[in-house]
Amino acid sequence: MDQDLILDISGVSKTFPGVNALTDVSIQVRRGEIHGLCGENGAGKSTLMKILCGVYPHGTYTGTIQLDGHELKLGNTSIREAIDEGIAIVYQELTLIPNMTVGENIFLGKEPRNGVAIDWDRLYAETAALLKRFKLDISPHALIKDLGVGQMQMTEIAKALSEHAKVLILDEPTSALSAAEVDKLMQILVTLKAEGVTCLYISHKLEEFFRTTDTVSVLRDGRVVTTLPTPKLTVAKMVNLMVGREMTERFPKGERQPGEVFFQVAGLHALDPKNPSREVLKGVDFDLRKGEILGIAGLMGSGRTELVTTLFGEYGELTAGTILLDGQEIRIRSARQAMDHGISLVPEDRKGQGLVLRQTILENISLPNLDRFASFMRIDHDAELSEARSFARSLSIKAPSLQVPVETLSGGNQQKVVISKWLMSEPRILILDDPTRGIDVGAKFEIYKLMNHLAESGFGIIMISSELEEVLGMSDRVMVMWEGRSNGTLEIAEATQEKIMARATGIELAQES
Amino acid sequence: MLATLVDTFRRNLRSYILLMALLAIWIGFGIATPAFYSADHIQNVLTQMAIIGIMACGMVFVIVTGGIDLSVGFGAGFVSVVAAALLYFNTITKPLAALFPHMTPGTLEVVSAVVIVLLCLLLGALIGVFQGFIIAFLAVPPFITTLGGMFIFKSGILMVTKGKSLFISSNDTYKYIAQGLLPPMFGYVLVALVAVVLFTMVFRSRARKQKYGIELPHIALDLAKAGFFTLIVLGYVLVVNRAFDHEADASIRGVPFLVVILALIGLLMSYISTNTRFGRYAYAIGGNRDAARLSGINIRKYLFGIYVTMGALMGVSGIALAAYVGSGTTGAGGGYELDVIASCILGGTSTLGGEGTIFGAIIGALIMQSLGNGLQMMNVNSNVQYLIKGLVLILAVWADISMKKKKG
Repeated sequence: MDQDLILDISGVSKTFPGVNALTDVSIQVRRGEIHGLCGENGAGKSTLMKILCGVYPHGTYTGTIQLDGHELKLGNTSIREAIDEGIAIVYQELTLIPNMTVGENIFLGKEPRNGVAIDWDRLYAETAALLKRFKLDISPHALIKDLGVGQMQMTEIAKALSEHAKVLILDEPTSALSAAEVDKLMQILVTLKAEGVTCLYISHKLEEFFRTTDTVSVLRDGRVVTTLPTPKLTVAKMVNLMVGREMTERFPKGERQPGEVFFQVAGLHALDPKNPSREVLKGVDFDLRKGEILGIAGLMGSGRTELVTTLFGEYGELTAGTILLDGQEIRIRSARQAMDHGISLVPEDRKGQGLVLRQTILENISLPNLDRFASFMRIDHDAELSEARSFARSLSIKAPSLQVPVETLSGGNQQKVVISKWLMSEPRILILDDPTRGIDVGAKFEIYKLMNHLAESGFGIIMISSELEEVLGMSDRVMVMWEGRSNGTLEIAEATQEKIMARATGIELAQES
Repeated sequence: MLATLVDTFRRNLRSYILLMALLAIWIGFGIATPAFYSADHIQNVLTQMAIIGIMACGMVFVIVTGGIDLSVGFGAGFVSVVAAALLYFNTITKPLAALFPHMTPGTLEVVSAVVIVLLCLLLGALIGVFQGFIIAFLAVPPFITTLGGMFIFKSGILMVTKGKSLFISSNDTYKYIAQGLLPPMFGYVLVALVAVVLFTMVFRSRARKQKYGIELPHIALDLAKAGFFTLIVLGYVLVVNRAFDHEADASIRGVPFLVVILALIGLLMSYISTNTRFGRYAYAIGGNRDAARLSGINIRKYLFGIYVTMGALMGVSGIALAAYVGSGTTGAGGGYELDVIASCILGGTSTLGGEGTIFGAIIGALIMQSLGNGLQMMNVNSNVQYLIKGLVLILAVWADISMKKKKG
């Protein structure tokens, strides 16, 4: 084996019921390099990361992984095992404890001790030394909650480095950062490289690869398409490699004639309610016609979900922009107001936001609609049941009765319950945020048919999707988001995966109109 | 038939286990001390648990939304000493007498009792408004708000009583609330009413289910259930009316008034929990707050309403407490919050929110009361009583958790 290799992934395959998540993946990472990993949503990047940190332990996949010359065999007892082996991951979601200081967080679980007591002096001295080594301008005594998101990310990296990691994995580290913070991170990566740290860098923002990485591997559909030195790549070439694939007959094509525009959004700006220094929506324009499906494409972190939750009144407040419904400007400050205007949202996180899992199908479907069946002291159970039934039937929800808890249903049927609940509220605009995520192929097809049917009967449908094929297969037009902006709307006839990806990565910009 | 029986049994396993635990306690204590079955005790046990049970009906809603109310003990105590003070100092009676000089003393007593009850209900509701506002609109966690409330009401008790006990000697109408027995005839009317309501409900719900093609349990099973509950009520009424005891004085025959109040509140709250938006939203908020919010539910408004309801029920319990002990004392209500919370939890209310029934909480309260009374009758030292109650609570929740684990 090449002495220069620190991480040698060879022939790794991993299957889930019905899906090949990874097929024969081989990636060689040289000591001291920054190795980029890119691919579409669902290409297999996170599955690979989960294997590397032991979430999917040794034995649940085939193939071998060599770390620094010996085979990596992780059990799934705890994340500690991977750390002890020398693999440290900085997750997208920050995993720091807000009410503890930087030092306490970095040494959490491995506090230096003085007999039984924690040796605070040593802890803070070592933290200071670590921060200084990587030129991080953060006080060891600062509380995490007082830091900016960027500084938190740096702290997270420092924490990973304090483990004497052989390989540092950065999983989309810039997704929550402002532009200035990204620059800072890039500088730090350069410092780290000079220190001899090996990095595996995952990102959706292609230009970042050209600022940091030495080598890039492109994943597509669970396979490594290519591994090339970064100078030999261009963004356009990467996009091609990421999407080059055949469309299959997975989408029922509806017969519909979209009507006139009835919903317009112009110049929408909004701030992240959790990090008000970050603007999540930086100018979004689109319009929606009656009886059409408008696809919204964009990489993760491009502001797709933030856009639709803002339209539903449940995210940040607008700092600029207008929303017109039937030519009238409307203001939406809560879900209730959105519903009153005929807007419904099937949220991204089905279990976390769409359903009350322990409650029955009936209770879930009628939750937003009880006003229709209820007077002050009485819910008309007969009316409630008969209406819920008609929806359950027309959406063919498969369940023994409407009285079973939704947690017992399959993902596809759960999603149908969420859609039923929102259809019952008689919306004019139905927003679906990644409606087929985690649903098997058969159920997906049914949901597509349902969407076509709804569009044919005059609903305006907005569909966010992480799968380009789905966007192309279902939409009449595609609005592409890039870094919080709408980067143009494409007619389906002119849209291709390459064009969408070019817009989603910002290498092609929509003409100002 | 047997299969459907087993199936129904399995679905309602939890309520049956609870009822069986109650039954086991009753059989056990009955064997240990026959006095447990005496008419006196049976008449008393439900009255004694009523003060806890009434508040448990509100606490179920609070815990279902993922909250807690620690202030109910001293809150009820505060209401009780206010009631006692109003009676002790004749605060209401004197102006009433001055205003209506022709009123007979008897009428005056009744009218002032009614006025005091209404004022105390209002006081309870205002306590709920105060705490509900802080919890729902200022977003202070319920635990902290009501912990603060606990101290505040304790202080209120001391301010009103000035460290003395205020005896209610002047107004027997007021004491009737907790000490009164309804005429025996009323008890029989009650049994008839219960029977009519239960059996009509069986037929109506079956007709409705049939209309919607929902699978029906065997008619015999439904009828047996209705019959069983009617029999229990009949048995209770016969015992407390002392129907077979010809020696008994008329003054000790009858269903306690407070038990009827508890039953009415239990039925009302149970109805609200399943048949109104208020109830549905409480369960949805506790089950998944994000999903509830995204379904357009005004979470603050409903949380506020739930704490106001809790306050009003706290008022009812406070009124009953003063009438029951016949005085307002400095320690009034202390520790009741623990009994109320324990009753809910024993009755299957999940502290994580989203789950729990009124029926369960009332059975839970009855279990706690029966345990306490039984141990006392067996002359078990009260030091040990608390130990046993504590262990039973932990054991019950552990059994529930391990049963769920096996199922999932």
